[in-house]
Amino acid sequence: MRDEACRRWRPSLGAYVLGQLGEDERIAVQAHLDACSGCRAEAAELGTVARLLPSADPSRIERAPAPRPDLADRVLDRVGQARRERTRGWLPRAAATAAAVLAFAAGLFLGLRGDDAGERVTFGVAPAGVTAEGRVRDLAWGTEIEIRVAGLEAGERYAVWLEEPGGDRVPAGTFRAVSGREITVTLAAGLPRGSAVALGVSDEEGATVLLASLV
Amino acid sequence: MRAGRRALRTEADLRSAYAEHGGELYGFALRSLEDRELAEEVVQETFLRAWRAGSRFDPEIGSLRTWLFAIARNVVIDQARARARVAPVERAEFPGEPDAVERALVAWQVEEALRRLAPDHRRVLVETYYRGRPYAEVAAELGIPEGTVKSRVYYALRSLRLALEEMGWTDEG
Ligand SMILES: [Zn+2]
Repeated sequence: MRDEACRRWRPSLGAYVLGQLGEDERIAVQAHLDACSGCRAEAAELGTVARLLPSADPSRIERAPAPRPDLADRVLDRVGQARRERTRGWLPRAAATAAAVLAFAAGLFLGLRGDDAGERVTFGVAPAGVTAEGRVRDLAWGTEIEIRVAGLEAGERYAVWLEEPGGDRVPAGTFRAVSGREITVTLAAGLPRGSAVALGVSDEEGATVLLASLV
Repeated sequence: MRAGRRALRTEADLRSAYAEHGGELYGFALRSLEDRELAEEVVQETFLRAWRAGSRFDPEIGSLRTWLFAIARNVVIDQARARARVAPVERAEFPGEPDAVERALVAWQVEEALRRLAPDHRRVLVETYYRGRPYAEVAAELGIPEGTVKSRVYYALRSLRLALEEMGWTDEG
């Protein structure tokens, strides 16, 4: 920057990367860039920014859109409600929720309760008539999964999996739906909780019937 | 078990995270979904998911802001897909695909960075670049020499880069 030529040409680099210079000046700047690595690096940095400009819509930049002022309270309300549900336990009352299927048997499960009960997950995708709730818990050897579900086709076998960011699925096991009642299945997958982006259940044809985002 | 404390554990944590990032998350969601109600819904759902997953936030890996935006991006995709199921052909561009959401995120970031520029700098970029007006005309209108317009364009781009970097943008090149 101490160099006389740099002082002269550097302020033109913005116009240069935007293609706004007249022919003579563009050639002069180009000649300086060929000789000066400092200005070349600067032009490259500005060029990256210049290439992003077309994605912006100039009509949107005068004023930042703002949410309604009570959104902060609604955010707190929603979390507060979830907090109350969590402390209350995760289904209102269902006496007949004996674990019908234990797809992963290792005697490792002490039952999901208490503070370290993992996190509740909501299935954003579920067929009509099917109710389901899940819970995942990060453990040293992978992720423990508990699913409570009712309304699946009786007798059909379902596969449970965790999805990785790239779309690969790590199987957690299978279970068979039981007619007319809610079942609880506990399974596990050898994938750390933090590496899973979704929890899913698919039928024998491989179609996804339940899907919950974990991120 | 794990080092560090759970993020967003208390109401005060949530309040300050909202004060810091709520507006930006809303701006991004609105830019993606073009619907104020849905955008507010995205913000609520983002903080809910963040609260639920709070133990997985690791401040040594990234900022709270980056983490919230990663969650918001997924919520936007979920919202767009849910809307598409209800009204399949309402909009020309379907924003439910990750690529479209990514584009909206870049667009929002650039617009937000432009908003953060000094007004003089923003002005010359808008006039010369977006409106394509000649330097001489802009210089005359602003009552400044052409050379000043040119150096303002230069500083505008430099400031824009800094603003983008502050927002967590990195050039992948
Ligand atoms: Zn130079």
